[in-house]
Amino acid sequence: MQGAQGEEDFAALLDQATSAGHLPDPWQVVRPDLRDANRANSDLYIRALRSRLFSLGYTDDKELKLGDLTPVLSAAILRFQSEARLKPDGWAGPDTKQRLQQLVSFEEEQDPEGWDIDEDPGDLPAVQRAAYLRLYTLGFMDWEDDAQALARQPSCDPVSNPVAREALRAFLALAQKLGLVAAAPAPVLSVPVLRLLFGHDAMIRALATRPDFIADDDNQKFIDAIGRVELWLLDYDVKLAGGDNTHYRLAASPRAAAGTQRVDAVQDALSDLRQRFPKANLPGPSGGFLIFGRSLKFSSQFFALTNSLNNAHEEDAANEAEVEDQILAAASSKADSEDIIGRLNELASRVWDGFKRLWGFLKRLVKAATIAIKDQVWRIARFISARARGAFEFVLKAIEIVHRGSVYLRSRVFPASSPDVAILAFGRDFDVSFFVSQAAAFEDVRFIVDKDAEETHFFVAASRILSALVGIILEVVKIVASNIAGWFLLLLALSRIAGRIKDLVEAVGSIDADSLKTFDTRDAALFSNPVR
Amino acid sequence: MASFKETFAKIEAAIGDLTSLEVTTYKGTINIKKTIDAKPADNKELDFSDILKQLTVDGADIQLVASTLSRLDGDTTAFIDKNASAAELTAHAQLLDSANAKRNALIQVIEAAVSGVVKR
Repeated sequence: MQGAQGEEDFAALLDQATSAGHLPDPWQVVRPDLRDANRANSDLYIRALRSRLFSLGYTDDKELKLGDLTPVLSAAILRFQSEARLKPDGWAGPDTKQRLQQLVSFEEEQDPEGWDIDEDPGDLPAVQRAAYLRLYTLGFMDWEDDAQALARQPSCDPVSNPVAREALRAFLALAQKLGLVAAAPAPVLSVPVLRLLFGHDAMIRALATRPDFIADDDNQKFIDAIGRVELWLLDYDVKLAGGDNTHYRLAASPRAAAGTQRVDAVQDALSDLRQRFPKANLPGPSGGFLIFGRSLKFSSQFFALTNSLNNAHEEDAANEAEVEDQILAAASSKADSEDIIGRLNELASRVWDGFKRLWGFLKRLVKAATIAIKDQVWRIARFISARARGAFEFVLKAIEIVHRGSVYLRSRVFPASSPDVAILAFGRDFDVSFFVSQAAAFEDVRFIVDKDAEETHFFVAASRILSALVGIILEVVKIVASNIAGWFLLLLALSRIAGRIKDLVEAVGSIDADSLKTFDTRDAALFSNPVR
Repeated sequence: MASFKETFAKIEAAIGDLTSLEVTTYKGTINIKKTIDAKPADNKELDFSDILKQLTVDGADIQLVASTLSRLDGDTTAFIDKNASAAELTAHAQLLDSANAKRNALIQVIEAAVSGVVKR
């Protein structure tokens, strides 16, 4: 059957991507410890989560080096949930992830009114931490003073924390000067103040039109800080919040001293931008430029460029069939195909590296990386960036379910069985043998039967996912003939899977999270997480 | 390490004869605790046929409560012991429902695959 061949091809592609590290290994051994039943199972996800919690001061840097869910990280998740008015269940699911994204991300969820927090957001300790982090990163704290680091603050509320209050006051004065607000409001974390503080795009837009503001001595620390943020968002390897941006790289000439040369990452990044976007007229040379008699790194042209990258092509992704057609058309010429493959391979290694940048950052990367190349490629990249990551998380869950569901297809005794009550066994092809002990209380028997019914939901869910996979397999096989890079096909498949699995996720989401725990510790890791 | 290939192969291998489904409920005295406890420690799957074999060896008292054979074409043959309690029959019926749901779900997967091929 063609489908079987497709299935094999698809499985081989998935296996290849897994072994290459493009996809996490869904069979990675996790400790079957039901006390940690809510563990996040994706290493990538955990790393991103840990990075976000570290940014907000919920963990220390030692924790950053670890790859697995630790008791410290679990405690940090609980504390964050508690301080962000989320259900404190230790399960870092979509709600927790979204709230972290709202608070830490620079480019997404910039309006606190959209954060869906019932009470005044400024009253939440997690929001206060996020505001502190934002003020610190934007240069309103003393980066040299360790006592001002976020992790050292017992409270980040500007009402009780004088450092936070002064920083917020300074920010609001600057916001007024920049024209973001007519009169500086009081230094409390009201919704309008939070909107100013988290309104990153508004700041960039304003800076793009204010060379005088950029040249003002009083604003230099802020300009340097926000300029670094913009470079960081464009995936340049610069340090934020006053970090040392000197790094070393191999010298172009082997005769150079020690074979390496010192490089200022900010200057290096600006130099690269000048080359890549010549029409942006970024002032140079690389050592800075003179404006109003001062030597500056960042210019209004720079902020105009980043603003345009941010706003380019904001419309929703085209429908999948259209994008696919464009991919195939673009790949029909060898030169275009090679260009696409080259660009996308370059992108691939970064797509799944969630450590430094999570999803929102990737969008900018994609824009920056593809703005100057062919329109088709940009559309492809945009399509991937919009869908693939979300789909990937679905796929992890789908794999869990498929794998768990396949357990039913083995001849085995249902784990809840007990010789004193009843033994429930499944044969191949779903035949059932049920042996009830003469001495058993009926409610105990009933428990086993009900548990079987509950797990039947999972099998049905698994089958539906499998249906989705089969459909995708067939489509992937169809595209394979066009000879585009294999990993890219995977991304396409993943992005397509999102829509197909959406209804499934809704169906499974109705099942209570606790019911996903299994009786058998050997399988505990597979269904220890709620599927949403 | 498991792989996607193995997983798909496992599922494919498990799909054998879906045309009939049999649910059987027994009642009796079970004296096989040793067997049940020992095998998971060896990390082996339990096999119901082993259990039945041991029951026979031990001369356990077993009786058939209900047996239902359901065919894909809709034909269903049921055996029900006249002494079976309502609770036992309810449990049996629920197991039959679950088993049917699973079989039907898998059949839908196959249908999806076939229709996908046809569309190509």
